[in-house]
Amino acid sequence: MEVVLKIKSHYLFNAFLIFFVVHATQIGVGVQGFQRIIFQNAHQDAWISVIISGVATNLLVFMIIKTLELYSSTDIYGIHHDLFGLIIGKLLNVSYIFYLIMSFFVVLRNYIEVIQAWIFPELPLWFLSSSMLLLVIYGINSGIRSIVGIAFFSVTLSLWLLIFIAYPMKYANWKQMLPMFEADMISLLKGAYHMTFTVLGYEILYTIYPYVKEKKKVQKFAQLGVVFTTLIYTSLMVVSTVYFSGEQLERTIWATLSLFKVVRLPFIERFEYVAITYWMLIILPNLILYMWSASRGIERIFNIKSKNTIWGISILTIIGIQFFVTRNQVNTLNGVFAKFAFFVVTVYPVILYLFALVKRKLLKKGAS
Amino acid sequence: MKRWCTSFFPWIVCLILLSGCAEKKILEEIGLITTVGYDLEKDNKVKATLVVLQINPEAARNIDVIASKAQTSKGSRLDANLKASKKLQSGQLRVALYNEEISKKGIKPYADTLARDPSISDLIYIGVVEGATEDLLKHDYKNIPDIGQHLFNLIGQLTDREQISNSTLQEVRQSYYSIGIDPVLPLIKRSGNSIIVTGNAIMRNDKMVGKLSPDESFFVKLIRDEYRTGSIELTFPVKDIRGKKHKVTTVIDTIKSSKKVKLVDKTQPRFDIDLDVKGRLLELQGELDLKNPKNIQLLEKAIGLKLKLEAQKVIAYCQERNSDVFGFGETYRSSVRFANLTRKEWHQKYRTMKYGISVDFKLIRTGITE
Repeated sequence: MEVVLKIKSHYLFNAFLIFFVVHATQIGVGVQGFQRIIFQNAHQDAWISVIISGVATNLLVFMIIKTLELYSSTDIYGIHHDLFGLIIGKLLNVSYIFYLIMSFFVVLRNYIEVIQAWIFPELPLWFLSSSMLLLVIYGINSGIRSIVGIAFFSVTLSLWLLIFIAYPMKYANWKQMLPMFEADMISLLKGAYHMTFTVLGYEILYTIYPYVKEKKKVQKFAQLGVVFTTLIYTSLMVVSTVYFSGEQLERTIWATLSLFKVVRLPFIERFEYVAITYWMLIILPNLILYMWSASRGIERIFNIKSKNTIWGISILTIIGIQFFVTRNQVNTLNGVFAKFAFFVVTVYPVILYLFALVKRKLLKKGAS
Repeated sequence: MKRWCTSFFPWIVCLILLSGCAEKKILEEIGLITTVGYDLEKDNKVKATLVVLQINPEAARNIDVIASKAQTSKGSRLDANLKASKKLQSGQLRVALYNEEISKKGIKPYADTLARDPSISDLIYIGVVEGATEDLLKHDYKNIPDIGQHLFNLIGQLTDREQISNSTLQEVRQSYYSIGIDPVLPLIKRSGNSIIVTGNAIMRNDKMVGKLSPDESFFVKLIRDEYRTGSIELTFPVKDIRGKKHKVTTVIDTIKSSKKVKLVDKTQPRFDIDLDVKGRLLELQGELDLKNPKNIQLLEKAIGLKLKLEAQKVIAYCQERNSDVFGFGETYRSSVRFANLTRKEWHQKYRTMKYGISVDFKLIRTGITE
């Protein structure tokens, strides 16, 4: 396996699109209902937890890109191979692919859960998942530049949903934000820890980095993407805190979607149905990018054509999803995944960065 | 050709698969529940009365009222389905009513099932009925063709004109789930061939504990909320500039109000309530010469005093009933750090809470004549 990837120039895309890629992958299923978990920990100061997690994400993105910059043009698979050698590298790569497939699976299952809970309780899992998967396969088959394009349109075409956050403000009770700064540091950090499931997505940089044309600009646009995400999460948290009363928020599973329940337009009375179905567009880049990264990895390690792996993963997903039927099972899945993901997206980038740095230093010493 | 096939094949499959897979809901084949009423029966069962709107051009009346009994509110819907020719759907539910017995036991379980159902909007109105809801909904009114629509318009109109406090499902749930503010619900009654709103039901958490007349309810909204276009009728004595006493009745409308509630004492809760009320004099019954601007000043003072006295009465009543519909607890909770207030604690404190109240009233204008 080659460490440094030489990507043909017609596969490269402009650096500013990284903003949309990072943002689109971060916003997904977590945002639909992260509020209550954070609120359980930090209560009315939950917004601080959200900001803490945002700042931490900025730092992690910084480290991820620094790690990648140590090599001229490579992805996480190449780095693993270079740092840890053939066997351990392969092992780490396989576990990273496992993580990507798991995130893909979790995103898909959670979105289907929302559809089943809100709109079509009678639709079977296999049907919803296979129709989504066909869309994903179609998206991936059209190549990396189209995938990035999907991310771009997913963000720009769903910005208008943000306007409707103004409606619940009519019922806002600002006293629910007071007294401020009551939560102690530990509960704030706990809240930030529980944000993992919601903020993850920036690890996509590990796999998409070689495809960016101007590599120097990646840092800037990736950071901006994360800041934009944090901005949206913080405002959603504040709106939810003033709109719901404490215990009510703790009982609301999908607070963001519930916010849309008070939007009443002259031509559509129940706006949440539009929001939920429109969410498909927000989910799509998530699914496509995770699946693409996983298939890329398999192609790199085992030399299996990604077209075949996509179908393989899809079939496995449809079979696997049958084991997560009830809300409880989905919750357990989310819990396990959140712990696993916390390690992969927050602890591991730091470790990897340190390893890469040390290796670079040792090499330099050896050379001189 | 091959490329075309591989890229469009999934789309075509999707199209074929997706069409007509979900449960169809054809308007002619469903009955739309627009209003539900719940009564508590003697055997502790819940009787639900559903007003169902049906789209049927041949029927003389497109309203059907179905009553059914079960242990739970949703159970009674299942039971009601047995009596309906069409599939009942609750997506168009607009008003949910509870009789006094249920309200006294607590509306939380009933309001929460409404919120649990994704097909029900959060903006439906919730109200308490004096007497049986079945009687209110089943009565054959002469002038009301559609009782569901009528109730919805009645409550909506009164809420818009700020004659009653907002009582949508979202606001009611927000109140009973928060610590330090209790919900108020409109109180509705059938009187002969008409339906009237007789005031507000005040709650302790989710249980009804008292009633307020519409005039008394004015003060709840004055302290709990703010007025942008309220109105009230007041009768009070006023001394004119020559020292002569008059008894006058005034109607004031387009009332704008703002409030300031401050916690002055934390250990033994004491609040300072500052009310700033502005309004237009719509009607004045009594011998008072308004050409003299000094008389207007005296009138303003008298109105301010009257408002203060009335407000004190209403607060005293609510304190006695131990229902904090004004949201003093919210102020307490938000200004005391690390209070860890619970609902029970607050209601204990609320009973003995002290307050000072000052009302500043200003007449903006007195109409187009003097």
